[in-house]
Amino acid sequence: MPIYNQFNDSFNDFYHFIKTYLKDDIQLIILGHYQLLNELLEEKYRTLVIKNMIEERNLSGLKHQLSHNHPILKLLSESTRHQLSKLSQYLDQSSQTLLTLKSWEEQLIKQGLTNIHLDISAQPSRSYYKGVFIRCYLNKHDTSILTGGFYSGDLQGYGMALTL
Amino acid sequence: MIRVALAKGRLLESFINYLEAEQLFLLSNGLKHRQRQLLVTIDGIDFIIVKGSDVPIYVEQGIADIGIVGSDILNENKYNINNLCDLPFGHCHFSLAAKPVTNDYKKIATSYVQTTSRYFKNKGIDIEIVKLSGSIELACIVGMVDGIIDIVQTGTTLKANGLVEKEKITDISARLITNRTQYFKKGEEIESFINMLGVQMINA
Repeated sequence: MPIYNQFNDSFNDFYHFIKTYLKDDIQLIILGHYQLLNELLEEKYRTLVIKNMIEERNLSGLKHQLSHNHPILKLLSESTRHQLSKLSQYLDQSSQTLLTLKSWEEQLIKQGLTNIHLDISAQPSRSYYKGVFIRCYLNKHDTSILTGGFYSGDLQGYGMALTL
Repeated sequence: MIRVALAKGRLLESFINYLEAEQLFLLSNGLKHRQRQLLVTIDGIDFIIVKGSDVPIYVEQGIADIGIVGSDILNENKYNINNLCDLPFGHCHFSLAAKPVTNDYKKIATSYVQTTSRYFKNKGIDIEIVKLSGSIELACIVGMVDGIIDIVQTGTTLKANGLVEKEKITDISARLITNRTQYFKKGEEIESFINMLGVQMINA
């Protein structure tokens, strides 16, 4: 089973490369988890129509599909930068998904990276990654994106890549 | 600075009227008096004026951060965008229209193939669709098709051409869309633009 430290080491290597060789820095980080939607959305609501609306952040459409106080609506109405701090209001404190996201956030903040956004629209069946994922945009290199996450299948582990 | 793609024509006029009603005169006057410019900067916002069907493409490609476009366009194709919310203007609807005596449909003319296909499929009616780019009413008048599916705002054009609305299919309104990446990168500016318009996303 891959452990977080392995991913953290890889992230540090890439971050060092970005700062030292690209002379750049990370502008914005998007964190997400492919199990998050299942934890926030009851099974009866996991229809194709609702999943598509969540993927498109279609708030006026979701308003007609979900209850007015539904966590998905509440979270999507918040700025993406504040969504991670609000997430604990809607999940069990022992949720592995919540704990994973919080520990990644904590590690990133320790490195001085504070512009962290949550993406709750990610859907498990539509990605190579199956668990937590990260996407980082740089200040100066518009087309260079650092992406990574947890994948599982015949092989499992953390993958990370930087497009140059 | 944010860039907003606007659908030219009927929807742009409706947007300008809305801005005037909201007393956002700097923007409404700037758009009204832009002459033939396709890219105009008003009050620190770049506006690009494009064909309605191109708005989601400019947004998807990241050339525009925000788009204002009719739901009729968005329902015809799948785009990799945020389709955030309804806007309180640009209201009209799709209708099936035909000559008053027609009640049987085998061939339909439209610019909106997906909407038409979905409508008849739901009714269990097998039809042939003829795709046209404009002046759809003519196809019915000259007998090329039994009926048309088109956008109706006032019904004046149908009436002038001897056609009647047989059935209202679905409502259409203006939608606010955003680029998926810029939604994170320019979140505050996008939120300011939405607030400036007086639109509450959750209550729209």
